[in-house]
Amino acid sequence: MAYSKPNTIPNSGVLAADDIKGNDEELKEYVNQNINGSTDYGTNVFGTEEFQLGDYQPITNEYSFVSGIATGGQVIDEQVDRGYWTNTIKKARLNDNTLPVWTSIYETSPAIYLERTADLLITFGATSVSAVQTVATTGFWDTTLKLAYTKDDDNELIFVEQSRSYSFEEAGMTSAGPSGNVNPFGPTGKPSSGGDENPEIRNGLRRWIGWSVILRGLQPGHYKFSVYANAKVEEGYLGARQFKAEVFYT
Amino acid sequence: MPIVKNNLFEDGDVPTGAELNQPYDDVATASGNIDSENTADNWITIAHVRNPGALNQIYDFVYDGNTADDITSTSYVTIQNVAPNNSEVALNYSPDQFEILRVECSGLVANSDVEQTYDSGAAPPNGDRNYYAFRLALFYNDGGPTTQISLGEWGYSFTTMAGGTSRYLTTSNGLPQNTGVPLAYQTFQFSAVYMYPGASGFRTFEKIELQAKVNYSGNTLRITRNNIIAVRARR
Repeated sequence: MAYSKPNTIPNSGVLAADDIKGNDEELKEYVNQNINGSTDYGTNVFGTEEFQLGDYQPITNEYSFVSGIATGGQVIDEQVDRGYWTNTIKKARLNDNTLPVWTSIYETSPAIYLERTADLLITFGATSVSAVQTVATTGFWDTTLKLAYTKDDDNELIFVEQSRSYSFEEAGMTSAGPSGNVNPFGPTGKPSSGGDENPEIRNGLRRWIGWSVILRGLQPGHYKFSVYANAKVEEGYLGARQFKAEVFYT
Repeated sequence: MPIVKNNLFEDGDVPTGAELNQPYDDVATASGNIDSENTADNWITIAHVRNPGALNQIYDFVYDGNTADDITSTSYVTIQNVAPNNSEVALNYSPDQFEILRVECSGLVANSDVEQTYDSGAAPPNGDRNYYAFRLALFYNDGGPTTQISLGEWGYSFTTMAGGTSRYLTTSNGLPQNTGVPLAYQTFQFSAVYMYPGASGFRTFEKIELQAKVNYSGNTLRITRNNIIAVRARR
């Protein structure tokens, strides 16, 4: 409620000190603690210049805005920037569909602290390459890629199915692939056996993976995001890639 | 310009009551309508913003299952993985003038069933059968019937094949012959921005649909997971 002076100074007579002090006390109280956002502020009077300036946090590569946080990164396909995955940890069961071992991929993993409940929009794009597979029969083994995250001190990975995507082993494709893996060539089971050049096959498998996901109503706390790979090859990697996370406080 | 004025008195002046009252009255007047003139720049922090929905608002549709929707239509149809749920996001709001609507969309193409993949600029039957396309359609009304506009179309091909009229999958045995590598289990992703130029409160945005079509009805486009995310960037 707006300030209202408790005492009106009369035009004549002796000035009462308490009148002045009373008005000042009321004024101090109003300015210091009683300005009310819903009644004292005008409507439709503020512009974007009144919003707090964005604040860049170089250590975490985050930009904090009033509306939320923006973070991310991108790299080109330099060898030192690649995010590799491998499957040596389950080598005996390299291609097992029932034993997923999820590997976090470098440079796709921001940690975000949410001050309040928020919606999170993540967009991702990458070139994926599955290069070496010597354990099992050659045949475009499917490495699954997914976004997942942990919250606070809980190490349980929460996978986001909206982001499910695949990276296929690059190999000579003259026969149908082994059973048990996702077939990138559809119902025919194999690419042409009559005249496809290897470069065409490689280019067909080395695809750009892209997705956007939305996570609604995330509770305040610490979140660790990453793109994970369930590797079915001994060497695969993301080359050029971009990862962007936008927090919208609700 | 000061909002609260203070009278300058000198020794020996006799102030009037009105003069002494004035600073308090000015405060009373100004405090009833605090605006950008009597607040500091950058003062609004997240703690000051109404909760929820004072800033950007998000609307979304998410299907993250494995059930494929088979598209064989040569005109755009709305994707529907599990009947009766279309891939659509409900908006139901009236935008202000020049308000921005941003849309992000992605999904996964599964094992499409491809019969013919002619890939040339020639007229059918040797036309562009290798292609399929997506469209984001915005439905709205201006107080009358629902109208539909396209926010954008995005085309993809079933195979890696480059041009030529003689390179295609044969219809006789369904196997690839002298063609590119079939592409399946790949993601699609696109985004669009739409600015509403009309008067505030005049138009109502109803929904956005994700639609798809093939260029040849003998080809089947299979789509599994997909999502639509719309961000209403409020003024």
